[in-house]
Amino acid sequence: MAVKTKPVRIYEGDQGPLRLLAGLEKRSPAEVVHAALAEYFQTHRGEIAATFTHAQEMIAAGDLEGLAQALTAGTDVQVNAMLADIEA
Amino acid sequence: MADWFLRVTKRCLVDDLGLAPEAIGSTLSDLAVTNDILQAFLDKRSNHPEGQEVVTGLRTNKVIFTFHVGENRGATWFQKAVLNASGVAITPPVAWLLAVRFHRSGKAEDAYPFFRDLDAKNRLLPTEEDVRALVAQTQLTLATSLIKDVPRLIKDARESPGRIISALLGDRVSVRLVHERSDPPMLTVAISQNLRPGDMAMPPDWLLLIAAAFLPETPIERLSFSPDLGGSPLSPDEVAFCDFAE
Repeated sequence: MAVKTKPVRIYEGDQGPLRLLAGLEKRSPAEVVHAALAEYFQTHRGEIAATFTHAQEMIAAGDLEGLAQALTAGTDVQVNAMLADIEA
Repeated sequence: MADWFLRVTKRCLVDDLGLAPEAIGSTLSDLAVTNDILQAFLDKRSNHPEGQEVVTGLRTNKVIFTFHVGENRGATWFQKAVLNASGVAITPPVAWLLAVRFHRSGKAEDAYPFFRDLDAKNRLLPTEEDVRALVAQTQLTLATSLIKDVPRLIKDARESPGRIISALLGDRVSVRLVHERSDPPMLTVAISQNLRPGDMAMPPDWLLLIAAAFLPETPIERLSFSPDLGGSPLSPDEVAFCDFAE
């Protein structure tokens, strides 16, 4: 697989385990991260599938309200930050 | 399109401009069609989110600018994007129209004493309802675009195989897509994770919602990330998905 250089920040404490795994498995850090990501996707497949399939259903049904509701994810952070800025 | 939102507070819409409270759920461009003051705000603040003349004598620490529409004066505030500890924008920039009043210099009902009075009563700046209405309206605009615009974009891509089509969904999400006439044909969509206006980071769930709009028949097990867009490189902020387009 082609390799691309991307600055990915990792926790200081993860640097040792990443090197250890790469050494034990005789893999590069990139291969360890790739394998870990694949396993993470496998573990969370159900959640990802549920979100994706639900979105497809809403789009097929033209469920505008449902889609707008689904897009509220993360908006509390936005609203609270804007309000704090207004009050600052 | 301006790289910031343009909004009017509910108090200004209702008390100063005489519109119904429900107007808070409308876009400024819709409201401006029938209101000269809102049209002037749209025209002026689309180009420059801040003005040149500052309203003086206010208690607030915000810099409030005036704008002139005939003999009316408006008070506007440019709320810049708020950054998190990592320097990433977590709110969009917004140019707010806070108040409007007829200008009668030296009179008690003049615009400037009116602005100061609102400020003294903590009624000048946007409220939580104003902020929530902005967020709700932008979500509705994006949801509408996912349902109405995406099928047309897919159709356009099919009709021009190999050509990269760019679009801005709901004034917020930049996408590029390409239909490749391979065997079988393939549709790839690249979704920017930097939201417009500004460079706000996209909430994680949105990526799957938008991908689902472009790949409405794709079972999750066939959903694939693409490293490029029909052979063209992706931008650093883009994530691309692809599936067979049959």
